[in-house]
Amino acid sequence: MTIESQGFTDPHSEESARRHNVRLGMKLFLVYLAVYSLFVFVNAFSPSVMEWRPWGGLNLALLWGFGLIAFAIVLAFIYGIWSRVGVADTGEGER
Amino acid sequence: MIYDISPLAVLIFFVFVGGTVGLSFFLGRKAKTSEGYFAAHGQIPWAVNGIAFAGDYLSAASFLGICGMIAAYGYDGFLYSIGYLAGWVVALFVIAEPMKRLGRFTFADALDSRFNSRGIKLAAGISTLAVSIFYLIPQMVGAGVLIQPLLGLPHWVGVVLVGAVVIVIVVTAGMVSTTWVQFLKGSMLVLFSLILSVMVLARGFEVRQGGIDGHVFETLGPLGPSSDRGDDVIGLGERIDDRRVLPPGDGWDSSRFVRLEDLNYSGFDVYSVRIEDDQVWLDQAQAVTRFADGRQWIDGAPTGRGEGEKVLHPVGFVSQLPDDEQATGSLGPLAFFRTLQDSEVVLWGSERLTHADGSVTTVHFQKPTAGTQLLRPGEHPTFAGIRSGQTKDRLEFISLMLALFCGTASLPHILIRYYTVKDEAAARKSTIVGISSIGVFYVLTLYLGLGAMTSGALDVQDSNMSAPLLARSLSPLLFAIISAIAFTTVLGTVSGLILASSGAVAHDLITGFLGIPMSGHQQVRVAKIAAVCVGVLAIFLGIAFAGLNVSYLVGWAFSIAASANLPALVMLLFWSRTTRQGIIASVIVGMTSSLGWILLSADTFTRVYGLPAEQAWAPLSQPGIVTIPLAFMTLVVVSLLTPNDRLRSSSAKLEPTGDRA
Repeated sequence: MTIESQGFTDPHSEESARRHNVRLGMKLFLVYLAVYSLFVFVNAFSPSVMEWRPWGGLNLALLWGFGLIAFAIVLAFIYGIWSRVGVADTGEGER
Repeated sequence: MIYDISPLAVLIFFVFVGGTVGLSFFLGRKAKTSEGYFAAHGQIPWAVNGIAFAGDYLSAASFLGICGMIAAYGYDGFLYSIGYLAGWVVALFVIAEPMKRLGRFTFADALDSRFNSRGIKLAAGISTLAVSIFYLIPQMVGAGVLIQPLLGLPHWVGVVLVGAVVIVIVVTAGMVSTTWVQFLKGSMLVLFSLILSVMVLARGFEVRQGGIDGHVFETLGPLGPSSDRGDDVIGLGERIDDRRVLPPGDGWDSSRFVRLEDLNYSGFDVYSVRIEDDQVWLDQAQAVTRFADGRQWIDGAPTGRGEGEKVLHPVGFVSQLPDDEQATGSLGPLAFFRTLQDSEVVLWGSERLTHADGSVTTVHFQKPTAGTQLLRPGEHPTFAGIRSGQTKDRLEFISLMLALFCGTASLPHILIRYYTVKDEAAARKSTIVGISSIGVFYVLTLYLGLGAMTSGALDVQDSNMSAPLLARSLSPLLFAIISAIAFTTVLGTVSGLILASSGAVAHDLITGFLGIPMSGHQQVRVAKIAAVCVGVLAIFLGIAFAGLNVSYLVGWAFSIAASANLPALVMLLFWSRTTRQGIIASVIVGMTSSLGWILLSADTFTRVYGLPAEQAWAPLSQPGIVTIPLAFMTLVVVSLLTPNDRLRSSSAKLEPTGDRA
C-alpha cells in the first residue's frame, strides 16, 4: 500500500515521508471532522431533518450514519495508499 | 426472565475459555522479558494486530450495550456506533504513527519522550490506571450479566470467573497471549455477527402478538368513551372480561394501570390504560415486584414454573407491516430498513411503583411505536433532549459525541497496541485493518439490534442480553457460540485493560516515577503482581456496580480518557512550545475535572447515589464539551508561563529527541 515510486523528492527519506504523512493525515482528518461535526450539529439542532428520505426510501439518519462509517473506511484506505514509507519503516525499526 | 441452561452452550463456553487459557500457557514462554511481556517484542504481524484492535475495542459495551440499546430504542444506539468508529479516524490520522515512534511500552513513554520527567510519568501512569479501572467496571458488569443465562449462576460468579481467567491470561503471557486472544475474539465476533445479520435478513419480519414462547399479550376493549368515565378511568367494582378489577392504591394508579384477577393462576394480570379516539383500551403489561428480602414476584405470584408461579414472557415483535402483510419473507439489506420504516413495532416502557411495605413494582408496558420513530434520533432518554428544544439538552448530546470522537485514541489499552508491531508503517496498516473490521461490525449492529427488537426473544428486564437472545431465537447452536464469543469479548478487553494498568504500575510509577531500578525480569514480575491486584479490584468493582447500564459506564471512561490523555498527546505532537509542566497540568486537570464532573452530575446522583437529579452540582451529565477544551487551555497557559526546556528547533517538532531515561 505504499507509493514510493510516485515521483516525490527523496522518497526514502524518513523525515520527508513523515512530513508527507502528517500533512496527508491532517487533511483527511479535517475532511472527516467536518462531515462528522455537521452530522452531530444537524442531529442536535434540527433532528427532524434526519427523517427526510432523500434516496432509496431510506431516511437521512440511516444514509448519513452508514455514510460516516463507510467514509471512515474509505479515507483509511486512501491514507494507506497515499502515505509514504521512510527508511526506518522498512523493517529495521528505530530502536 | 427465567433462562434454561443449555448443555451445548455450557460445553461451547468451556471450550472457548479453555482454549483461551491454553493459548496463554502455550505463548507464555515468549513473555519472559519486559519487551515480550509489554510489547510482544514488536513482532506481531500488522494484519493480526489490526484484527486484535477490533478485539480490544469491541468490548461488552459495543456488542451487548449497543445492540441492546438499538433493540430497546432503535436508531439512537447506532449513534454510539457512529461515534465509536469516528474515534478511529483520530487514532489513524493523528496518533498511530507518532505513538509507535515515540513510545516503547506505555502511553506515558510517548508523552514523556522529549522530557524525561518523573512528573509526566506519574501523571500519565495515574491517568492510565484511572481510565483502565473505569473502563474495567462495565466489562466486569457485562460478564456478570452474561453468566446468568448461560450457566445459571449468579452475577457475582460471572464477575469472579472473568477476573480469575483474565488474571491467568495476563500473568502467564502478557501482550503476546492477549494479542492472540484479541485476534481470535475479534475475528469470530465480526464473522458471527455477519452470519447472524444474514439470518436476520433471511427471516424478515412477521406480525405477532407476543414473543417466541407463544404467549399472546391481550388487548381488551374498547371499554367505552373515556369522557364518560371521569378521573378514575376504570371504576372500583367494575368487571372487565368477566374478571374482577383489583382495587387501586398502595402505589397503583388506576389512570395508568389496571389489575384484573387471574382466574387460571394466582396473582393478577396487569394492563396499561390506553385512550385512543376517546375510547378506553387495556393492553397487557408485566409487573415485577421486588421485596426487601430479595424475593421477586411476577404479576402478583412467585417467580417460577411450578403451580401458582409465573414467569416473565419474552417480548419484541412487529404489530403491523406495510400493506397489512402478515410476513415479509427474506429481505435485502436496504429493504429491511424500508419495510421497518413503514411498520409498527411494540417496544416496552417501564414505570416504578413504590409500596407501603418497601417493595417496589416495575410495570413493563407495551409501547406500539411507528417505524419512522424507531429509525430517527432522539428516542432514547439520553438523546431525547435534542427534541426538547433546550440548549442544555443539545449540549449534552454534542458533549457525548465529542467524548466518543476523542476518547478512542486516548484509551490506554488501545494505545499500547501500537507497540506490538515493528514500525510506523505496520502501525498505520494495522489501524486501517482495525477501522475496516470495526466499521463492518458497527454497520452490523443496526441489523442485529433491530433484528433483536423484532425477534420475540427480548428480556424486558435486561436489554444487554439482546444480541445473545436474538441468536437464541434463530438457532440454539448460534446462541451457544454467540454467548461464548460475548464472554471472550469481555475476557479480551479486560485482558488488555489489566495489561495496560500493570504496565503503568511497573514501568511508569515504580521504575519511572519512584526511580527504583529493575531488570526486565523484575519489571515483568512486578507487572504480574500489579495485574493480580488490578484484577482483584476489578472483581470487587464489577460486583459493586452490578445493575448499572453498561453503555452508560463506558461513557465515563471515554470522557476521562478524552479529557486527560488526548489534549496532552495532540499538543505534544503539534505545538512546539509545549512544556513538561504544561503536559503534567493538562493531564491532571483533564483527569480530575472530568472525574469530578461525572461524580457530581445528575446521572450519577440518580443512578449511583439514589439522590434527586436537582441536587446535582454539574450543569451537564456529559463533561467532555467543557473538560476537553479545559485540558487544552490548561496546557497552553501553563506552557506559556513555564520555560521551554526543549533544545530543538520548532521545525523538527515531530521528531523525538530520544532523551528517555
